[in-house]
Amino acid sequence: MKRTDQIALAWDNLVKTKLRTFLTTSGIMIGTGSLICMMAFGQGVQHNVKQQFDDLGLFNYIVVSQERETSDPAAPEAAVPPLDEALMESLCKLPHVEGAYPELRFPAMVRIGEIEQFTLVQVLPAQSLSFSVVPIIAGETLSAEDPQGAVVSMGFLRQLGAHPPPSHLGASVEIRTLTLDFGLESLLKMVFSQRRGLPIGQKDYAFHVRGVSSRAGMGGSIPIRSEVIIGMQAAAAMDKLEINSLVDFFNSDTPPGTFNSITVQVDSPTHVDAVRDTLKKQGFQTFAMLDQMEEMKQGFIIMDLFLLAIGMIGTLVSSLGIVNTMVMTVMERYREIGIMKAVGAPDRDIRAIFIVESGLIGLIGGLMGLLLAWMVSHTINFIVNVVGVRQGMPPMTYFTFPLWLCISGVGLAILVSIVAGLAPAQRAASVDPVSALRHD
Amino acid sequence: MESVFIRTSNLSRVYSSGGAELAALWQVSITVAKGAFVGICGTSGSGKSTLINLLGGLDTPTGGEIHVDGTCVTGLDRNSLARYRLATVGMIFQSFNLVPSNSALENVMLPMVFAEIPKAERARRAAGLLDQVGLAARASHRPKELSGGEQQRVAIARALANAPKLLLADEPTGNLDSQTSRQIMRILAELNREKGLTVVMISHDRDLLEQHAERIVTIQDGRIASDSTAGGAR
Repeated sequence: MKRTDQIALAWDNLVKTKLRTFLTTSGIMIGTGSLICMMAFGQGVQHNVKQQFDDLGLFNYIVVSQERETSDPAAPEAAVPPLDEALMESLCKLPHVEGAYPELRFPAMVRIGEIEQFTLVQVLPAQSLSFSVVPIIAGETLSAEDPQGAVVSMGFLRQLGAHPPPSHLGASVEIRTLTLDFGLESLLKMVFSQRRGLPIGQKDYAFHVRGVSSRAGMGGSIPIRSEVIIGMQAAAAMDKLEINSLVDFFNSDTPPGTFNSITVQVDSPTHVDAVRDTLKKQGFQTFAMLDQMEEMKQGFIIMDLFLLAIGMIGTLVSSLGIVNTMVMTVMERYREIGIMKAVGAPDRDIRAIFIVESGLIGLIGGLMGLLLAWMVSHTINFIVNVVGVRQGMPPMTYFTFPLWLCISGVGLAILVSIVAGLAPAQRAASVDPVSALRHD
Repeated sequence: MESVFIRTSNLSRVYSSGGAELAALWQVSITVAKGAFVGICGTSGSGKSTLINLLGGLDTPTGGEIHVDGTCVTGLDRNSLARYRLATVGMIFQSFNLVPSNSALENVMLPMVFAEIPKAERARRAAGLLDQVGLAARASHRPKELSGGEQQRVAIARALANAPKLLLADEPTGNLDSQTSRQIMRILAELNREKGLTVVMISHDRDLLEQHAERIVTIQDGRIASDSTAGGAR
């Protein structure tokens, strides 16, 4: 019996019992719909998290540092090149590396117009910007000829109501740094006012907006955005605490002209591993945020499995409906099965007719379930966004329907339906034609 | 000498129920020549339907052998038995056994579906067979829209769908009036005479068999009681 005839025969039988077919496929539709909906939500969460990481470019960075633990004094530390300007230049020439710059950031309050914000001011050598580390969308990049010129992120300017990028070019930028103040006045204050803590002072420095970058600076081991980027020349002239992390305390013996760490920016997360391998071979210690993503992925897999398990309950319950329908169909068509056998139908054809029939129920139910999941998720998404926007949240897509989810959702519905139809189909195949033809 | 088309040797079918055994057919040995029209006569429960079911490969014997057209039917597995029913045998039943939801044409096409004949060819051949039994105009009608005689003619057309060599008819006129019965018998006789089909037909109406069959085998209590030449002999 040809497959097309099996499908045609199964379809005819489904059409003949419209109400039953509708009810059974509705069961599958609800089961599959809820399963796809849950998985789509899981995918949506993952997509949003990953998107936010991608937007920050967190996966594109590798922080390179020197091995510190040298228990063996004879260790060939000299073989590892120092983290200096020359190394940065050579790192920039590696395949897939967009740029390399020292991890020089200091905490500061930055004021432009009426907006004052705490940020880590990033210090970059002028040449770094030419390696597309920070894409300039307006104005110019850092220059040694304009030491007080700063590059400010569009995100920061947007808070000032700036939409077209050039609108704040030339605006003044106040950078207030934290300093250690060991002046007499400060020390006297500490003694007489019994002030606790370090003698911290503040200093203001005047810059202006020289360029606007499309995204904030990022990098190193601290995932805080750097909204303002200044040149090394200007930074060297500023009094400031340059402690980025506790590790810096241990790295205080860094020789002049070298850096504690260098951030290497890779063109794509897919190339991070290859670049990192190269760096490790050169003897450097590396850290990539991508590693954290691997841990997150494990969490996502557990979440997916959990959602799948809940969703599967509905699908399995609906499969019982298919078993019931198919058993009823076999009973109702007992005589017809006998007729088919009498005219020469082999067992495998009878079995195939019923398996294809249950598979068709799965296909229709699965497709309807996909449609249902799509409609329900869009409705939920719409309602959540309406409520969320009123509370100041940005509109988001909470459900994602990747092609693999659509295909495997419908595929699972077909598979479950076929499995549910196996026993009734086998029962049909083993019908005794003599007793079936005698049956009224 | 006429070639033997059907040969049964010590054919038995014993049913077991609650420890008791009932022999519906017991050590029946008959031969049927190729192209013969054999009538089987007997009272209700004599075992004649059991014999037809065994010859048609619908049932399997508990003892003995059946050879049809040189093939040992009793040695066939389930798939080969289905193939035998599909290609060699055409069956007609007292209660017509048409699929109620299918049209006359679809009923005739059904055996061809399992023979994997292309759809267009199926429709063409089924229409020709319905025309042959005088039902070309009723092709799209469902069984419930047809009279008993018409339904049986559809069943005959279906039995001929895959051009079988053997036609087995189990009381084909049992549910029909005398005039319609004669019409059905004429069709069967024509098929036997003109197409050379071997026909084995059961009927409790001995007179009907006398007119068309060339030989009448009487079965009683599962055994052959008599085997005689009839008026239909050429």
